[in-house]
Amino acid sequence: MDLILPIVLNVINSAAILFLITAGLFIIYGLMGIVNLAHGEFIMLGAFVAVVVGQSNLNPWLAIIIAPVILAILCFFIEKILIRHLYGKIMESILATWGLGILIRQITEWYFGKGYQPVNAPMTITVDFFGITYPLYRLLIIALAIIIVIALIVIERKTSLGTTVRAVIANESLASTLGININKVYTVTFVVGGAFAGLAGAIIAPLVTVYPSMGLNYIITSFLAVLVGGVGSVGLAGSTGLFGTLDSTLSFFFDPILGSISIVILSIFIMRYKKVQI
Amino acid sequence: MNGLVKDLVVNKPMLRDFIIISLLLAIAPFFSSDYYITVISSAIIYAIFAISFDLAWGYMGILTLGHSLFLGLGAYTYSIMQIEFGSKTLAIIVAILIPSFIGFLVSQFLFFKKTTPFFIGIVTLALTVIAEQGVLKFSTWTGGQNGLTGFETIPLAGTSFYFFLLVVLVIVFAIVYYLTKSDFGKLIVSIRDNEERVQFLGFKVPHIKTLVFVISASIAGFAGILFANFNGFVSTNLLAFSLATQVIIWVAIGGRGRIVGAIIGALLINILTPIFNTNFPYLWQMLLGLFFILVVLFIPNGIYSLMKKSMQSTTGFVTKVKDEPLKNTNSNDALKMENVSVSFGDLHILKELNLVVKPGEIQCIVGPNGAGKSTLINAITGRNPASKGKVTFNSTRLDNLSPQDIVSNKVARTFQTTSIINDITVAENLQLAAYKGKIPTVLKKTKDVVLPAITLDLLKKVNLAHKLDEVAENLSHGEQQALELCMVMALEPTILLLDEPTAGLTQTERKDIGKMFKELAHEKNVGLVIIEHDMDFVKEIADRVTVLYDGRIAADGSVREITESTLVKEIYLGTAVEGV
Amino acid sequence: MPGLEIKNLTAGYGKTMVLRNLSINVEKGEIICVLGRNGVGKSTLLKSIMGVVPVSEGQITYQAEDLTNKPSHMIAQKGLAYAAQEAAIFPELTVEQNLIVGSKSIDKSILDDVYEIFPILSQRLRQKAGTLSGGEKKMLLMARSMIRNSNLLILDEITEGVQPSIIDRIQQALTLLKTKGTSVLLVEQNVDFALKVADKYALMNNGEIIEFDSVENAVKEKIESNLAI
Repeated sequence: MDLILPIVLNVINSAAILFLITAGLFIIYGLMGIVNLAHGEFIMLGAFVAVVVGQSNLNPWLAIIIAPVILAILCFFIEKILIRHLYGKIMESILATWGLGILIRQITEWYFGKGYQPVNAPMTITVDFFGITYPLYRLLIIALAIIIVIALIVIERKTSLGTTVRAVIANESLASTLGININKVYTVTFVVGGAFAGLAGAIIAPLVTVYPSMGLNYIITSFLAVLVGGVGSVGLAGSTGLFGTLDSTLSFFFDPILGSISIVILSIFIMRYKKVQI
Repeated sequence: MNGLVKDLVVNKPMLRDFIIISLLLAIAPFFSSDYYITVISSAIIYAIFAISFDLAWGYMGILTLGHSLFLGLGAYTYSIMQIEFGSKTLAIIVAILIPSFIGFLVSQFLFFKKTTPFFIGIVTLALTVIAEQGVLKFSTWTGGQNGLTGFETIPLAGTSFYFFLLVVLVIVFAIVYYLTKSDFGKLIVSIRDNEERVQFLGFKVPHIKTLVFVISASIAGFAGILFANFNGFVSTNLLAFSLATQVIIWVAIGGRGRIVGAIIGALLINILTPIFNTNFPYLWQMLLGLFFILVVLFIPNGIYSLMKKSMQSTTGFVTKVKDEPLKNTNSNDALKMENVSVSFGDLHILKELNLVVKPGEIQCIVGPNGAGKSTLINAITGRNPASKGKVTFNSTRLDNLSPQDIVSNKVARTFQTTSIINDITVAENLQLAAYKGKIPTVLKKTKDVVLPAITLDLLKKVNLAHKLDEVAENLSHGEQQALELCMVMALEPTILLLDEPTAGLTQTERKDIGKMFKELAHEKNVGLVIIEHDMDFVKEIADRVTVLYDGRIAADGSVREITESTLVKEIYLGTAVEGV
Repeated sequence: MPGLEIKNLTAGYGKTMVLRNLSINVEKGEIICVLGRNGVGKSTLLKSIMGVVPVSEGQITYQAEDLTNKPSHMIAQKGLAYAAQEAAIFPELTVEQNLIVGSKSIDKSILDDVYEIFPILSQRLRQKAGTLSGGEKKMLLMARSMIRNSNLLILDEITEGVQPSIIDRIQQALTLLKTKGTSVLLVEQNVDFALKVADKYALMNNGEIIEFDSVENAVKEKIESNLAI
């Protein structure tokens, strides 16, 4: 038990982190059909908020509150200036958001340099968890992921906001003729998706290496998780759970490369046999 | 000589511009320091890489976010092979084969089922990242973080290497240029423009995409070999996603779908970057990124497309009559739909439908909206596969075949929303159809359009015979419909399915088309299935009328029987009920 | 207060103009029925009003406000309730959710009447709308259009594929709406039903209105022969 539990917790932790990272992407892609390849950079910006907060000697918890707000404001303008032009155009949205990601990376590199930036965790205490000691921070992350999954499912199924969103996903034209302002829904979606990404970035900053190009590590797995999981909170929880588990297990027992390869191969096979167009 | 130059200047702008660029490159070393010769040498190799990417993306429409995978593979394979086995020639050969092979493997996953550009982009990006991780892991072979040196390179350096590269560029350009200008080249851009229509002309689209992708991968691999030889050093920079990103930017800014544009983009940016990098590195990269976004939004075809007003369309096409067999050799076998059901999840469109289509007969399908008429054609032609039941023709089962294979079984169709290739001319559209799905020549651009006599007649009647060089997009709606009709007739099908062919046509045009349909059916023994709303037209030409209602055949008989049927009246007046 | 006024409307998809220079008015409290064969442009007319199909020439005004080519949600918020011919409900949402999704306010006073005319809906409120039969879905559409405080209903073949008993209920609903002064513009293939509920009828052919009169002057057989094969 003592040997297995830390491993299991680490695996769950990886899955939870993957879920948090993917949630923002999923909200944007699932609802708007927009491929936001700058998603990794939004996460990176959230992480850099944590860097700045740390450098300013402020309370590290502040980062977790400020990051989503900053990203929300940023995404509001990005949506109005750029994303608006991309609705319905897959190829253009891939290119334009890819370019946006490059731009954000460059600006960040220019200001902070290319190197790794250290970030202190808001808490370093460990607790007694079923007989082993485990960092409380990581346990909180797991708890947060679970809370968010439940919250998303509840919102999706039980609130009128969720109904509106599901209506827009199902049939945009019909939703519009029933009085739903699609553009407003899109703006809000992009802002919320970006805020989620910022939040995720600030949360994982103490646990990973933070540098301007870090976003790339996340978008591949996140996108594949979204493609495989489909549109729906349950699907997303499922795919991120699967991928997070697979990646961390294989990386731990064998090699990180095996983890990455297996995710890609698994995605390809699942997508080939799913009947949905990807 | 004068005529040749004039022809070049006026009719072949890309060739002309490339010659100008090559001349500029040829004299550049005499005005540059050694450092700049190195810079331009690199830029030339990058231009070759850009050509490979433009072939896949600009021409074929396949956007890979990790094209550097192939370049890196070429570079590493060459160096490792050379170190292990000594022979440079062997190393070069294998280093071209490996990226080609990987390109082939990747194609199997990307082109043979319906995939979005999104999936293709992410998977290729992931492969590049994995390859990079692989290189770092197997560092005993690859040199890992430090890169790989110590392999033998081509015995050239400095200015001589530069001119070697220039020659290679000219050769690669020539190959790709003539490829894209040939009939095969037209096929490629047609797939990019309207893949579905090309599929329904009988072309094996996934295989063609694979072919082009493999060619692109091998050229990229070759560029990698050039880098290895040029630098004497290979590192993960050549595999990295940053290079994959860069090539997208060069081609997007320079000119997508125009090789010269891709070359200009790659040369310009890679010559300017070292200059700016010494002075304001980050500003330059940011400006590039910003410019890239603007180009994507506002100048989607790149700067080169601004310089040329439009792609020169090939002109000078001539139609020719096809030698036809004395008597239609088609059998009299009917096409049969047996208990065919088509559903989308819980939505049942066709419900255990039985239908017989006989060659030599004109069968009109009528029925209220939502009855499933288009879906019926889709089920026969493979666009919406049947979830139950089967479709047979000439003792071949059609329901499990791809659309292109169904076309080779001589079953063709038109679409309710006219489907033609907008970017090319009328003649080129017809020529494509006349190929009947065979792969066109890569060697030249043929100017003959060989069509059956009946198609040429129609072409004249709808006044398209003198508009051969008109770009299809500029035709009127009725003309586009007529063009599509001519195209499917060029396939010489035994069964022809038409979805509302008279929509948007004038009275006279309807008369002419009606006459032609009768000729096709009664003289050429073609079986016609026509979905129609124009009842006067139906009464005029139909041998049989089938009424479709709520996914089932409600009535089937002669024009008279159907007009007199009370059930049919009820269906049309909305008083019939579901389930009848 | 003027009602719906459509002047010289030319509209269609891409290059094909389906409607040509069409004009029609729906006054307050009127029920007008549009008849015609398949493909003449009836649905396109309704879709142009709702902003789903682009208008290239002409004008659509409602209560003196210009609605031409405005976003659909704005048009809906002005009080136009639309029931399309195909796929007009959200199959994965419940009946209840389908009734209220997108609406800013519900007319509570009419809710009781609606449940009285369509009792089966009140029984199936929690069910997914996709499980309803075709006739029940049409009832859902009717109910949805009624409860949204709308003063103009736009209905596209609301009786299509529906059994006579349900058609009666829909007729009841329309009568109720008339007493409340709601206007209705409906497209119909069922001439019997159309002439029973409407005040005026408009016969369309080739994108234009070829006959427009009060239903008292309608000759049923003549109209039916125009529609059928």
